[in-house]
Amino acid sequence: MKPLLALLHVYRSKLVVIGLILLVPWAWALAFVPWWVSLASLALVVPAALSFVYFVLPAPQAPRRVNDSENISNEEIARMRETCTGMNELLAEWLSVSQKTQANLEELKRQLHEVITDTESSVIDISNSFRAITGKTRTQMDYAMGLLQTKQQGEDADFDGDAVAKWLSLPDYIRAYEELLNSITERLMRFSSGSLDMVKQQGKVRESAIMVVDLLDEVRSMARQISMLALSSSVSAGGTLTHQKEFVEMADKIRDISDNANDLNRRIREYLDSIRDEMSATHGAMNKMADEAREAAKQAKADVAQLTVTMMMKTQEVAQTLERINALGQEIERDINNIIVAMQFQDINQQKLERLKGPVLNEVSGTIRTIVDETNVLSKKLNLQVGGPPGATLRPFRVAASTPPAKPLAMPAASGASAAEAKPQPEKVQGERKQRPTNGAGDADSDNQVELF
Amino acid sequence: MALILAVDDSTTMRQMVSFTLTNAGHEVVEARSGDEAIKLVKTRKFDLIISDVNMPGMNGIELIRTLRAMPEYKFTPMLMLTTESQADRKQEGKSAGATGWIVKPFNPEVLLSVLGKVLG
Repeated sequence: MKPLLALLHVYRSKLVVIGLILLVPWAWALAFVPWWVSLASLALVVPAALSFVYFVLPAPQAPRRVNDSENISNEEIARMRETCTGMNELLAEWLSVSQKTQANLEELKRQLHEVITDTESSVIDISNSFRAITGKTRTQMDYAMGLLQTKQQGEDADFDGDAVAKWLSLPDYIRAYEELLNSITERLMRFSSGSLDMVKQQGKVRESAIMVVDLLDEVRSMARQISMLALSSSVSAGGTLTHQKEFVEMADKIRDISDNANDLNRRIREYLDSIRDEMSATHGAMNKMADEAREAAKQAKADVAQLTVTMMMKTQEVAQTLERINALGQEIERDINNIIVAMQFQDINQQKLERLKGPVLNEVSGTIRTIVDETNVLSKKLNLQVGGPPGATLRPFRVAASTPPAKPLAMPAASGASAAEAKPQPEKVQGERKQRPTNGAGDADSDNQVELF
Repeated sequence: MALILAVDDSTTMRQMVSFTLTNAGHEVVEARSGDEAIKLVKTRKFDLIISDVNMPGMNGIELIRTLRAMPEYKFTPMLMLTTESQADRKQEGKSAGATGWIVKPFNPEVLLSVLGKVLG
C-alpha cells in the first residue's frame, strides 16, 4: 500500500491525464447503456487506473540512506567528502567575501553620502552666493539711481539720520546751476550795456572839450589882434590929426573884435553848459552803473557761495555713494570667488562619483556573479553526487545581466586567497577633505594649498 | 598681460581657471588633455602653463617632462593644479620640472598671487 501511495504522491499531477485517457473511450457509451452498467464500468475504471499507475509507471527512486543495507562504494564516499569539503570551503569563502563586500559597500555608502552631502553644500553655497550677488547688485543700482532722483526731507537716513533739506538730484542740480549762471550772465550784460552808454557820454564830453579848446584858440588869436591894435592905436594917437581916419578905422576894428569876443564868450558859455549837463548825465549813469554793479557783484557772490556749498555737499554725497558702491563691488567679488570654489568642489565630487561608479560597483557585482556561478556549478556537482534525477539542479541564482563578468574566484581546491583578489578597492582621492571656504578664510590654508618649488 | 595655457580634462575646472585669469587681464587658451596641449604649444608660445595631474592619456607630470625637453619651454613657469597633496607626488612634479603645486579647490586670489610671483 505504501508504495502505491508513494507512487500516487509522485504522479499526482499525472493522475488527471491518466483518468481522462481511461474514461474517454468509455464515456461515449453512457447514453446507450443502462445506468447500472455505467456505474459498474466506473467502479472498474478506478482500479484500472491504479493498476496502471502501479504496474506501468516507473517507481520513484528511493533516497539513499546511510543505514541502507546497500553497499556505498568508497569512491562515492570520497567524492561526496570532496564535494562537501569544497562546498564548505566555498561557503566559508563566500562568507568572507560577503563580509568584505559588505564592508566595501558600507564604505561606498559612506563615501556616497559624503559626496552627496558635499554636493548639497556646494549647491547651497552657490545659491547663497548668487542670492547675495543679486541683492548687492540691486543695492548698487539703488545707490546709483538715488544720485539721479530727488530725495524728500528726512528720506535719506544714511547721512547720519539728520534731517536734510530737499536735495536736488544731479540733473536738477545741473539745471539750477545753469539757471544761476544765466542770471549772472544777464546781469553782466546789463552792466556791459551801461558801460557802453557811459562811453558814449564821455565821447560827447570829449567833443565838447575839443570845441572849447578851439574857441579858446580863437580867443587867443583875438587877444593877439587886440594887442596889435592897441599898439597901432597908441602909435596913431601919438601922431597928427591927419591920421584920424585911420584911428576911426582902428576903433571900428576894435569894436568888431569886441563883438566877436562877446560872441565867443557866449558860445563858450553854451559849450560849458552842455559839458556840465553831459557831465551830470555821465555822473548819473556812473552812479547807476555802480549801483547795478554792486548789486550784481553781491548777488553773484551769494549765488556762487550757495553753489559752492551745494556742490561740496553734492560731491560729498556722490563720494559716499561711490564708496558704498565700491564696497559692494568688493563684496560681490568675494562672493564670486566663493562661487568659483564651490563649483570646484562640485566638480571634484562629480569625479569622485564617477570613480566610485565604475570600478567599485562593477567589481562588487562581478564578485557576486562569480560567487553565484561557482555556487551553481557546485550545486550541480552536489546533486550528481547525491543522485538526484538526471539533469536536476538547484534553481540557479539570477544576477542582472548589465554588469560584466568579473575574473573567477579561485576554486576551492586551490586556496582561499581569492578573496583578496576580489576585494573591490574604492579609490580615495587624496587631499580632498573639505575645507569649506569663507571670505578670506582661504588665506589660512593657502600655505598648505600652494607650494612653489 | 600673459598668454596662459590651462590644461584639464574637466570642463568646469578649465572654465574656472579661465574666468579667474581672464578677469585679471590675461589671455587664456584651454586644452582638454596633455596631447592637445602639446599640439597647442607648437603653434604658440605661452608665458605660463597650468596643468592638472590626473588626466586620461598623457598625465600632467608627463606633460611637464615633455615640455621641459623643448628648448623654448625650458624656463617657462609651469604650475600643477590638482587635488593631490601627497609629498611624494609633489616631489615627482618637482623632479619633472614643475614650478609650483596648487591643491584644488583653489582660491582665485591665491592663484592670482602665485601667478604674480612666478611671472614676476
